[in-house]
Amino acid sequence: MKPGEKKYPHIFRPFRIGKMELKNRIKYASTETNFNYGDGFVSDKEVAYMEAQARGGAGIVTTQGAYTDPRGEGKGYVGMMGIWDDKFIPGLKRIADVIHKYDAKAVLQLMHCGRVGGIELDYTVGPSEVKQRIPRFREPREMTVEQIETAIQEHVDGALRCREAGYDAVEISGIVGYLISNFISAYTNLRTDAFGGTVEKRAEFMRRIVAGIRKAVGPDYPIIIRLCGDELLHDRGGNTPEESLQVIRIAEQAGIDCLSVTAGWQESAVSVISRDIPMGTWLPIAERMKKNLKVPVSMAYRLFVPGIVEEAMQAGRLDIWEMCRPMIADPFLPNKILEGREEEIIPCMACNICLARLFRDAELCCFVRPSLGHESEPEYGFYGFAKAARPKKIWIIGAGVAGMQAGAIAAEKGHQVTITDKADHTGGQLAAAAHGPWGDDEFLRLVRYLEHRCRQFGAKFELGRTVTKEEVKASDADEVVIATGAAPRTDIPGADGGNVVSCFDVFEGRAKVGRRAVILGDGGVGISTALLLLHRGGHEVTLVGKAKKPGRDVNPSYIWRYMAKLKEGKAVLATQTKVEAITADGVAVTTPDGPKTIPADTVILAEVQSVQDLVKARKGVRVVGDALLARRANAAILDGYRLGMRL
Amino acid sequence: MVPTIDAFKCDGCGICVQRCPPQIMGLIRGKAALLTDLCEECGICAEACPIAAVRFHLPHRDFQPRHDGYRPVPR
Repeated sequence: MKPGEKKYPHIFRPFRIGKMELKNRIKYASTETNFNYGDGFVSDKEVAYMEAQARGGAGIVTTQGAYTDPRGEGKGYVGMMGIWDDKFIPGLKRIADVIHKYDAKAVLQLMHCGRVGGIELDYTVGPSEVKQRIPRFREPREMTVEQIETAIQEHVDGALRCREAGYDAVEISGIVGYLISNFISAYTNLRTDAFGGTVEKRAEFMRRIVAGIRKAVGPDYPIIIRLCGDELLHDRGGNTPEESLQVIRIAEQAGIDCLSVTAGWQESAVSVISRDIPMGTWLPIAERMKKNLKVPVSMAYRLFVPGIVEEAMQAGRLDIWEMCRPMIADPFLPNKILEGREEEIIPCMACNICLARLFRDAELCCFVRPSLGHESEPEYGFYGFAKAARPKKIWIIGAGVAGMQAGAIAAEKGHQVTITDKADHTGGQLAAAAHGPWGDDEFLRLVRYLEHRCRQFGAKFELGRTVTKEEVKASDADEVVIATGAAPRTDIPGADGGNVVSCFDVFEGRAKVGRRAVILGDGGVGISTALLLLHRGGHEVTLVGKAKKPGRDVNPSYIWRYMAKLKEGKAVLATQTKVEAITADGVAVTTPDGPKTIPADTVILAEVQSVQDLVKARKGVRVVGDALLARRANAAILDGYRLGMRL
Repeated sequence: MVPTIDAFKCDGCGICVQRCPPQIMGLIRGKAALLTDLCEECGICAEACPIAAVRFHLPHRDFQPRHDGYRPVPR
């Protein structure tokens, strides 16, 4: 018995959906990647990515959604794969074959993106013409009854092609704003014919698809459906949870074998999957479905650690553990849990950069795993790095994420690595940021993971040691890596005053902040400092910056919540404002309306710039992360990784 | 996918240079250029370019190269 089976007996117990036998209860949920060709054919990159997922040890591996119509109305992502013609079957079969090679069950998802689709068209289709809330999406056109009949038939044909390509089951996607959910929701379906009106009529489209597929594929072929348990569209007149349950009951009667339940739409005005939602928040929805249904229930959404899931399974609240982002970050998550190597799991930070990239028509990318999409390229070392021919002595200055990422890879390659930091702990800026509110303490998972990787391969840490230029010059190391990060810029007149503190001191609790706090810097660092102060309470916060809008460098999936929270905390946003000097009683600024003084008890410096003291100490040093250029943490990891590959 | 810049099309307006989140773009001899090593592949430069000189598109499976030099090996 493996350690994971002992620790998490429910997760690793075999299970069955209909007649499909599963080796464990972990499912890699369907995720768009944009790795495929623009015309819907499966690319080698996608096959390599799916192979990684299957090798990772999940019981079910779901492909990304495939669009079912030749017109491209259902295509919501540029690199989405197609299933609208038999010509796609050989490509789809390649994915099914690599999944089967590793003893996992292959499931294909059919997805018509509905009101968030038509990526290459100037319109989208939907049950009714309801205005879009998010500017990215184009306005929908109402579908005629003939178009609806065609769409149903296309789903059925897609399911037949899925079986033809060798998949063990078919999944239908009816969540977050895709076509089926558009029909189900009272917000987007205003029809008065057979496909709109009462809940039964709104669910008719979904029922016809499920019944049609069931008739076509026979009684034994498992059908999985993804439906919303709670649309979280109360402000827009969406379905109530009761109506959603009613719809799911209709789906059960129509002949599904498993329900994957979700919460929220892309248009929901509340956080659903971001870091500020504690893990396991949405489990009550799964529990409710479990109580009311006979078919197995699976759920994704903020279930990142096995402990929560094991507990829920034990209590009978959940049958299958579904994951997208945690397995994008580490496809080997199931096997690492099984083998008792949990500290080796690359933890997902719920940063949603993956989503932000998909919405910008770019390929999927991951904050914590730069090897994403390069699984088949040995130099990216996804399946492990080869030992270096000539081990070198490498000295890394700075134990932040960039330094530790470079160090972890260098150590894995067999180099002799020493990592020095002036602080008494690892993690650098990210460890400071982990003091932030609303789930930011999860950053420590990444710091702990990187530190573990370094120590596992024998890298030495020297914490609490400040390095001088002379030491770098005199060092006998073959390679010196400077990863000293960034510090707030202090070239403002009066920045040495007694009322001025650094944002990192505020985060780590070394500085006392007065009632009226003025934060200089409107980037992500300034915003998180403001949020921290608002969370602590008792401060009047002013954010000063030159840009028109604060937070240009912050992920679009996060900035809107941050702005809402700043508004809620009554923070003053002084935009297009240039700082002239800091005085004892405030900050002198130039606004578009002329010079002004903002009164302040404490001034916080939150505009960071690189610390490059050691860069010129010696020829040929390597500079990574914020020491090279102050950017976001994903860039630091990417820098560290790319340097590690070359060392 | 790192964006490609059509240097013959680029008019050097510098909008992409301003918009690039990691600030790794610049103008060389009046044409946009980027440090591919530091590129985060976000595509914002392509979105910002008013004359579509920055290309950020997925290819089609049967795409035709424009001249013989780059024709892929036949399957």
